[in-house]
Amino acid sequence: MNGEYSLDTTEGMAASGDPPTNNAVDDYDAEEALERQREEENKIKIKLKSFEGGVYECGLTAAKMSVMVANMLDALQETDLTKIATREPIPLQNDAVTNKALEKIVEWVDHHWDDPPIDPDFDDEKERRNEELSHWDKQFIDIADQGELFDIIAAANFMDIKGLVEVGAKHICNKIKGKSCTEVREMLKIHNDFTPEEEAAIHKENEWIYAKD
Amino acid sequence: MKRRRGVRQKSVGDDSLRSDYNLRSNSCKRVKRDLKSGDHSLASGGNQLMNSQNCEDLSQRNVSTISQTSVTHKTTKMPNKSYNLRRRVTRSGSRGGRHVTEPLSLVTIDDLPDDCLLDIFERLDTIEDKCALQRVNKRFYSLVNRLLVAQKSFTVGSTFGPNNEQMLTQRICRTIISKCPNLQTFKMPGFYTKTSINSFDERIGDKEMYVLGKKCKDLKELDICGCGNVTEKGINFIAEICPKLEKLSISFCLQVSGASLQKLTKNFRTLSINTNDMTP
Repeated sequence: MNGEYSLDTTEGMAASGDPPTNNAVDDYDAEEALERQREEENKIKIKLKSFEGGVYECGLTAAKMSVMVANMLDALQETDLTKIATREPIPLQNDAVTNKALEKIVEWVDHHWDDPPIDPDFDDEKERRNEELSHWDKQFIDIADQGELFDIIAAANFMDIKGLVEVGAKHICNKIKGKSCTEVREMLKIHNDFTPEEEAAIHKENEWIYAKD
Repeated sequence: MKRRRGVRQKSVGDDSLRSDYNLRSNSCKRVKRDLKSGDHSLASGGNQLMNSQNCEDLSQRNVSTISQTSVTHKTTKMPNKSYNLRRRVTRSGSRGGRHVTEPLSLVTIDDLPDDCLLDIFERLDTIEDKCALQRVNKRFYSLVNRLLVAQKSFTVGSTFGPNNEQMLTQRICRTIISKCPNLQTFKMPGFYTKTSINSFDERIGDKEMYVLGKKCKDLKELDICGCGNVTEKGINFIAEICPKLEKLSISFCLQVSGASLQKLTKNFRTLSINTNDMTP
């Protein structure tokens, strides 16, 4: 649907009597048209419904950052985008999508909707991995309530929003770094389900860590 | 023409969307159950209850609003139902309006699906962190193990850069070798900027080369710059036993002589050896 639309605009521009220019300019024009279209689309608000029943409004382009929501909207095969806004809210059927989580997710996609898409040809996966979180993301993800944090990550994973999952993963990774296993267990409130024998075996396996101290 | 088609399909699209919703929610539930019912999930309901009570104690908020009824409710329901119902029960409690202000948070990192956790663990690049995670619980152990076995490249040790202070000892080296059998790239520049492991015996030597050669047959790239204890014997052994070896960096390996390098070049066509200088 998306592609069709952008194709139409470029065709229209070519037909309106512009002399054929070189490819670079064409590319630039197409890019700009796409950007304008995204911006236009984001003014259309659609509704998302959480598992608990709360309904949240979100720009169309922003909502499409979730691959799942984008697929659902594609399934509608709606040519008139403004009609999407009048539809009943899209239900998100996973118990991780609580009211709070969805509220935060909508906040995140509304802030990030105009991010440039990840280009696998140019963006180095490793570099992106090591990149520090932006200031806004750091403040966004610094949530005292761990349950809420994990809800957001699980919900983002369910809705297939790569960027947000990455933000959460980086945040937790930074917390875990350099901690011992008991510290990790305490911090994340994890129950130790090893039997003493198993624990001893693993301890032996990793003996060198403790020999250092 | 186009528009008409669009209108006609609208009603069809409606139905397909709805069925899509159902399909999605069903499949998602199924996947979730599959994930949770793996061998690493908490086996007994008693454990879960204990766990959740710990959370309650630790969270230090809402303590007064914990209703006894909801806890006992859980104990009766827990043992015969699947793992993810724990969340369901608490959620329904909050939806029912008993804890309207703030639902009790019982969601832990264990509620995340496997691929999320793998995504997190992958970002920890030191072997120490990974080993610490392995000891947390069974699920973590199997997940981290999966990562380590799949790991293709590892970099430890320190170059001359001031920020890279991971220490490389025989033990770390051997642990990595024993845990990651599928290594293809192993970089362990052995320059020591820290004085803490200056003892000569702790450094990488020929023995590590033997272990490495026996364990990691797929090795393509090896960097042992500055590992002064490695001699020609170790290098030759690696070169012989790893047929895929393409790149070998042995700058500042002071015990490797030019004569042995000549031997190496005869064996390999695509072997590039990066010796800056200093080799006698």
